[in-house]
Amino acid sequence: MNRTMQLGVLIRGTVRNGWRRLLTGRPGGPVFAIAAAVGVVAVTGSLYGLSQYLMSNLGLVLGEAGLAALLGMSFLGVVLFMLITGVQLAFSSLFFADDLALLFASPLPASFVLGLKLGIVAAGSLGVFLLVAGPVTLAYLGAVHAGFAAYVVALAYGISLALTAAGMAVSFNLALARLIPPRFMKRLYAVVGVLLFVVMYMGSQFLPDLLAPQGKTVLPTGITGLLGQGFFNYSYLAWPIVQASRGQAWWCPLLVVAGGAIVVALSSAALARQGLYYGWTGFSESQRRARPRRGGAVGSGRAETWFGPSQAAIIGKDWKYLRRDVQEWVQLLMPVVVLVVLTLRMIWGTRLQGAAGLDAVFVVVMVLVGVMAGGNLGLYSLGREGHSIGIIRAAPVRGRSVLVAKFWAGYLPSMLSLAVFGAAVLAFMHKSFSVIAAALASIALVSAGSTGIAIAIGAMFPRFDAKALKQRVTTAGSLVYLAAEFVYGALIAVVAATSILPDFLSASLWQNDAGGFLLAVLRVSAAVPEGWRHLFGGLALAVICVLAAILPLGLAAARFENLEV
Amino acid sequence: MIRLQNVTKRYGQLTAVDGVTLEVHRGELFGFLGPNGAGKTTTIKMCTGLLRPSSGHVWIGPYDVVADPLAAKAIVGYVPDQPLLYEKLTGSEFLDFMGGLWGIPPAERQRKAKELLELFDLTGASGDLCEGYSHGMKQKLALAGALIHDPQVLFLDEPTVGLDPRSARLIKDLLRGLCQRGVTVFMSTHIMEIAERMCDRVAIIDHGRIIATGTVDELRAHGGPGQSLEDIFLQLTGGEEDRELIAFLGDRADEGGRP
Repeated sequence: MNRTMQLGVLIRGTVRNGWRRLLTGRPGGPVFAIAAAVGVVAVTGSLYGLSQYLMSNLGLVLGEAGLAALLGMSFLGVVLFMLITGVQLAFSSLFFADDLALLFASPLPASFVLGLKLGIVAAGSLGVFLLVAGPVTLAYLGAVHAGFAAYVVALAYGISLALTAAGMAVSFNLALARLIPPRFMKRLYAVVGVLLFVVMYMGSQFLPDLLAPQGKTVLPTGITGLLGQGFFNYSYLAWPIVQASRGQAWWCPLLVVAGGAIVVALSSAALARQGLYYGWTGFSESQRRARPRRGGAVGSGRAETWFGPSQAAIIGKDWKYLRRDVQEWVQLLMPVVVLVVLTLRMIWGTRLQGAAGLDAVFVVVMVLVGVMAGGNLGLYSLGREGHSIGIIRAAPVRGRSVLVAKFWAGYLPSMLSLAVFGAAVLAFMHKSFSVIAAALASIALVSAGSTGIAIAIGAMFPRFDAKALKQRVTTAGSLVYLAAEFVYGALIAVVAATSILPDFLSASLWQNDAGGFLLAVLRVSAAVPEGWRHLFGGLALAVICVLAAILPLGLAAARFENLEV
Repeated sequence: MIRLQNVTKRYGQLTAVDGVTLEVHRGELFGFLGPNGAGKTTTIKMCTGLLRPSSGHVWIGPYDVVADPLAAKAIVGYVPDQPLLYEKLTGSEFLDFMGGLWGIPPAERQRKAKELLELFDLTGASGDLCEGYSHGMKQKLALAGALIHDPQVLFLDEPTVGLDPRSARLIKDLLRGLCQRGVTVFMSTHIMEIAERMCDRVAIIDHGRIIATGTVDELRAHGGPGQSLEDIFLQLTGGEEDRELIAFLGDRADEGGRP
């Protein structure tokens, strides 16, 4: 078999395996594929529609040069996104792919295998480019009435960017693997994921203020200022496309970019080959014995008194995992990050500063964060057992007891960490004792309901064969979870709104007859004396949360009892 | 001690286990043999309550596994073919966890854990996370976990796979000792030598059906004179085709292995 045939077999096998894993490797595969396709079309179509609207309207204000700069600005975001996804994809492809040992043991040249892995990363980056930058580029080219050549240039430019991103991602991983072992890289990436989430979330919260520093709607001025008309212009990032759309010479810029992409890709492939030779690429990773600082018994005597030995064992085991597995404890950081950002936004945000009823908004924020906190740990709680679920199923423990143990294992750390943090923030802001107490009670109650829902749905739709924590619930389970948490959050928001909003919203808002159901509820609520309103609101909240914690767990327990593993 | 009555397991059109009826007595070491995909693991999983039979009954001691699963599970220990462990627990924590699941008081399970770790030569590694253990160490720890509650019945799915000769010998001796103390051991294996030397009785399953049961001597009596258990197994499970393949490969080797 010659080299071309070998390469053909390798690519064909990889594509076929990937496609089948996508379709049949997960429960409800075809349904997932259809849902994913519909989702992609919907997102890309919406992005295209939005871009087209913005380009055609902003074009009048910004002119062609401004649109080119906007296109370049969007490319900056896409390239960053490609790098982030590429780094993670390159990491799993180079160090943890199932087929690496088989491929390296076969009589294929190592360059073929590494080239294939680089190609997979580049294909992923190209997918990101086509899905995110594609609609924006199409909208730009349409808005400036570009010719056919510009579309071809755009595609070639996209491929070049994807190849560059893949090459850089591979090189970054190899350089990092030279310094730290892959098992630490896994932890590092989990933390980096959270940090990126923080940056993106903070950016989304504070960007409007940056664009409109005076608190006025000065979007076009803000953008034109941000686009830069001097030395650095964002349109340089879309240089070949802009040149082609203007009918100017595009060969030179495209050749520069494409040439650079090829150099980066070849360098990274050579680096990967060198890394393989020296043992810091591929399957050379071995697990070293690690001894935790705090070992000992899984359950404590007190926990056994409260929960019984079986439940205490499960809770103790889950808490040890929470401490030792970075994928687990970063789940607790997400709601804390949201809490910090929202709090900062409320302290320094121009719109809410000094507004009446800020205290009430704090309580609502705590409620929302409670919903997030409960769900984050709970949803994957059962699926995270993986194949070891067989141990629990073979033990003389009722399904209901397992789920109750899972509930406490997820609820207590998320509720306590958030309550401590929330109380500290509120005390720092000199909030009254009653506000702090109300916020903490809200966290305790809402987290309980949210945890119950999450654990129940995770137990009804588990995936025990997935490697990553986030995949340990089926796609259908994720969708059901989102829907259930949305309904739960909406119910709580309605109760919170009707019991608190009349305290500080202008009465003129609901005095007229119009306004629909919610304002009608507010009218009724506002007529009730404040103390009674708060009491009823608190009771309603408690009832909803307790029911949300208990009922889904009951349903899931019946199903878990019949689970076959 | 273990009784299966007309047990069947279906997955849609596929019948994985087809009307299996077996009885294993107290203190017996029972070998469960069969080719890959014959239904061995499915049968064991039904006995341990991990799968529900589509029809038929499984009793462990006096308990029906489907009607009274908790009582049945309380006296059973199970070691699957791939050791099930929690990678982020240490060896001693894992045993403590297993003891807790079976409701053993803390002091007793700590004493038992210490004994088992010593028995399996894992004391030195007991404070290390399981993720760093070798396959053999994991296998031994899984067996220790299955023994921590002193089960009356032990189900083992391919227990000697991946073990070095010393560990394999330890497990063989241990299983013999357990049977002498009245523990019933139900063990699936591919290794005929183990079944031949260790088991009081064996059953051979193929395509979900039991095709032979008895002591090794009884099975030999059915085969030709001088036949080993392996010969009988291959005869019964259609392994003669494999022999033809081996003969073919042998001829090719004689020709120099040229294509």
